[in-house]
Amino acid sequence: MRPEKLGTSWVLGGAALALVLGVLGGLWTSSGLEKSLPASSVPATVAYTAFSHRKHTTLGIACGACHFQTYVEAWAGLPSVELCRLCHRSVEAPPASWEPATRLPGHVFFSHRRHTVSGGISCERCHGEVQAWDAPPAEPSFPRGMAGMNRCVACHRIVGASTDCLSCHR
Amino acid sequence: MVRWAMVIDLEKCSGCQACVVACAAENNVPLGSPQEAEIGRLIRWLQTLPRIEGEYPHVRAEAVPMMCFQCERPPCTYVCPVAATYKNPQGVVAQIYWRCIGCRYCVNACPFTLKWFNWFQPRWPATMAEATNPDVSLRDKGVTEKCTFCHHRLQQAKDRARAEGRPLRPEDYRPACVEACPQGALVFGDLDDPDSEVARRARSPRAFRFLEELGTQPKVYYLAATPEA
Ligand code: HEC
Ligand code: HEC
Ligand code: HEC
Ligand code: HEC
Ligand code: HEC
Repeated sequence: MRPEKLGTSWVLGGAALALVLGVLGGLWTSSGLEKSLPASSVPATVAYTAFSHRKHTTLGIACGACHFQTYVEAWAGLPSVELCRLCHRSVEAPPASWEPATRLPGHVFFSHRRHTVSGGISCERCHGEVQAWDAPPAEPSFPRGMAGMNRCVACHRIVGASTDCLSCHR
Repeated sequence: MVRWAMVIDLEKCSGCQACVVACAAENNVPLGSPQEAEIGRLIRWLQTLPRIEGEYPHVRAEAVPMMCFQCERPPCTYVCPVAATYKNPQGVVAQIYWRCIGCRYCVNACPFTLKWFNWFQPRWPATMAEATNPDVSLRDKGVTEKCTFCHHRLQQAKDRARAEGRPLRPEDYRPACVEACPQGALVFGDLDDPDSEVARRARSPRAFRFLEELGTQPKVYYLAATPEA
């Protein structure tokens, strides 16, 4: 094989690899994870419902890497199992009935992007010390019923956002 | 300040009922049964009032679309003992279903009978039950409900406009009935903006409101059909 040909395939292969890494590994690159995280330190098989925020946020992964919708959508949703497979070989998906603790009743309208982007409010102000969660929380970030609503309204009073019932209720 | 209002041009309205269907589908209003209809307990936030003029063979039939008139002085709100219904700063008469205790004072206070009480647990055919609109809550038996000019559409329009970093445009927010009308007979907008189409039409010499003498000041205007020569 002629040297220049070998060179071309290396360049092409490298470009393809970079592309794949770029697409898959947006999480890794920014924090230099690819150097500091040897494959052997990543557990191969994990359960989705045993997810620990503490273990992952200490790796330096930003909230938005897994929860990007919270910046661009009204809804938050949960990270897909595919995302976990970037690092873990096999993931035990949650049962269909599993739900996160924090979920508002259907008669309330809430928009994440309105708060995180337009309102400039940090995740922690509403969800608390997520970095310390060792497992999915048992308690919702906002208490149910009037107590939860009062927390929304208390902040709205301070920042001057709407306290009209129709803004939140539908 | 914004004050939402509607103008319905009876000259353009053909009585096709597209708005009635669009409203019920958008707002999760149950179909109801023939039995319920018979005893007058069918729920339709938007319905048409048939009006027949003249005598056979020279008759003229008209179907007048009617939804909550979003009165400036809404009698229904004055009688609510728990403040579940009130007029919001933009002039929309709200009904907070989870606050409502089902006393029906407001239903009876409405001179236009355009508030609806759930006498029965709402039910849909199985295929429809899976396709209810998630943007509107499902009401239970024992709760009063009403048209809010599709306020959930405003919630979303505001959210979208803010995400795109721009002010709300008139075309961002239109109720389902307005969108569905094939004749363009329903016009919606801000009454306090003198240049809006709604404000211009409300000033038309053809404009009238129902039971104006009661002083409730409805924000749904009608343009009378011009009599045929
Ligand atoms: C950037 C790579 C990366 C991604 C993406 C990732 N993890 Fe991890 N995960 C790790 C590493 C590294 C550890 C080990 C951390 C430690 O032990 O401190 C770990 C640990 C875990 C553990 C604890 C396992 C144990 O035995 O201690 C669970 C459970 C887990 N991950 C689940 C998930 C789930 C579910 C997802 C998808 C939402 C996910 N992970 C996405 C890198 C990742
Ligand atoms: C590696 C991906 C990953 C990262 C990074 C991550 N999360 Fe999560 N998050 C998940 C997964 C998976 C779940 C669902 C399991 C759970 O509830 O723990 C979740 C759930 C949540 C929930 C809902 C919990 C509930 O049940 O109510 C909140 C709130 C949340 N995350 C906030 C954050 C915040 C804030 C950050 C940044 C500090 C963050 N997450 C970083 C993957 C991640
Ligand atoms: C103003 C308060 C507030 C802020 C700020 C906020 N959240 Fe939330 N979050 C909520 C509420 C309320 C819910 C429940 C939403 C629902 O059920 O519609 C929620 C739900 C979630 C969920 C669970 C999603 C689900 O499917 O139920 C995740 C994950 C989440 N938030 C992540 C985040 C992240 C990441 C950030 C920061 C970028 C953030 N949130 C900022 C209030 C907030
Ligand atoms: C930490 C403060 C804070 C908390 C807690 C909070 N909000 Fe907000 N909210 C804001 C701010 C700030 C805005 C205005 C954002 C903007 O200007 O775009 C806002 C705006 C809104 C709007 C849009 C209002 C409008 O203009 O029509 C809705 C709806 C809303 N919040 C719902 C909720 C709900 C529901 C909760 C509780 C689950 C909640 N918020 C909790 C700060 C908060
Ligand atoms: C800033 C947003 C916001 C505003 C404004 C607001 N609410 Fe709420 N409300 C909520 C949230 C969020 C919940 C649901 C909390 C939960 O159960 O998780 C709620 C729940 C309720 C409930 C049900 C409580 C229960 O026990 O389940 C009632 C009733 C209610 N609201 C009435 C009102 C009335 C009346 C007004 C106007 C005076 C109003 N709300 C204004 C956010 C709001």
